[in-house]
Amino acid sequence: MNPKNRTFVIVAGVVVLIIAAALIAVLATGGSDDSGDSSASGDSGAEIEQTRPVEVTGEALAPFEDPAADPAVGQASPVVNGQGFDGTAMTIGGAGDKPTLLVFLAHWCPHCNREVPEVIKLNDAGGIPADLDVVGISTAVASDRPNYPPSEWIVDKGWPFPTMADSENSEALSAFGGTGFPFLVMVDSDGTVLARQSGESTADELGAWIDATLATSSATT
Amino acid sequence: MVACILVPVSTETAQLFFSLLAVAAGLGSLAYLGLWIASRLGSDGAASLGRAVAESAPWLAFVVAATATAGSLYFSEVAHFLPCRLCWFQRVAMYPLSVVLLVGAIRRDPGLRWYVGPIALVGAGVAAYHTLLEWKPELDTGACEVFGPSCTDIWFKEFGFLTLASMALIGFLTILLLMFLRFPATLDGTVLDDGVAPIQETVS
Repeated sequence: MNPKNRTFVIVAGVVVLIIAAALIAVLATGGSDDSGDSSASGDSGAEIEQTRPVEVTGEALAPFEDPAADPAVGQASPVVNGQGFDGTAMTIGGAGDKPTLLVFLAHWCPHCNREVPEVIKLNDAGGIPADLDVVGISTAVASDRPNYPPSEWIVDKGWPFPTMADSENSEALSAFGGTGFPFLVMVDSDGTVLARQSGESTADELGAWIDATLATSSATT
Repeated sequence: MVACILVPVSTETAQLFFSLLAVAAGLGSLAYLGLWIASRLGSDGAASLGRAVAESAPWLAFVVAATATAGSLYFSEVAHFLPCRLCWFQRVAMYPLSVVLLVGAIRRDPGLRWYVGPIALVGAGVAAYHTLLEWKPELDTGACEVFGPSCTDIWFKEFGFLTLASMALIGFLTILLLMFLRFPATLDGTVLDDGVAPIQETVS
């Protein structure tokens, strides 16, 4: 066989391989585009709405940039009324009985997936003070991204804290000035913002940050 | 055009399709590398088979680059997976390779590998770093961005390990192997695809 014919045979073989891969993919998955990819209620966990409407009152915080010079610290936090995945009414921000740590999480974010076990580890070790409430907020929900639906994701991860479902447009996250995930906001019992933080941290680092932030609260009250 | 053809196909199907091709390319590359090693160890059969594949290398590399480009366009334009910063650098490398390899294969350009190699090498480096970030996200900034995808985002993971970045890495490495592996020639006067007489290849 001359070189030209050999090239033709080899390339034709590769084309046949590509066609075979296409057939396997179609047969294995059903092929048609009827699975949907944008509806937040179209996949597994469909009975549970993965995003919920929220109502924001008060002034939104500035977008988070520098934790060392955060203009939101000392400001009154916005108040967000929303719901948990089971429809239970929830409120985050504003004055309360205790300081509150808000943990904004995106189910598809690898850093959030690493942060959740660290928060749980800190909680299991007793590193979260008894006079601190922790609330998770599921935000930036996308049905075509990993770990959807978030209502099942937080259960699978063993997240032990109450969780609010942010709206489709992530209004709760925007109200608190979130620019990345995971995003943490410490709100004092009088409703002022004590600190904001973004990015993953270890259980020890998180515990130290909580203690330092709450110490700031004690110093100012 | 390929992206348009694939529009009616579900994202899940496309993921499996391109993942199967990536696995095939990876296994094919390993087999090709095995042929090269065997030929260097003196196997005439491996050398003969390797030369047969090497003659088609520009066309095979073009198929790899064109398929990777089609997949990239499908996932961004049809499946709406937003490309991250490192994805864009890999696109900058892979897209021109499709055109350069096609022209080089048609013209039977003997110096094709010297145009393709540096681009594929840069692409492979970026894809390798991107793949590392996916496995070790703590090496990145530590946070996923709200406005725009982070390089640690994993849109899908097929067979438990194949991601878009690792598929791109396989593509770049396959192109590099196809371009640079040379097989010992026989003394029958066969001329290799780069126009160099085989006896000259064996001298070095």
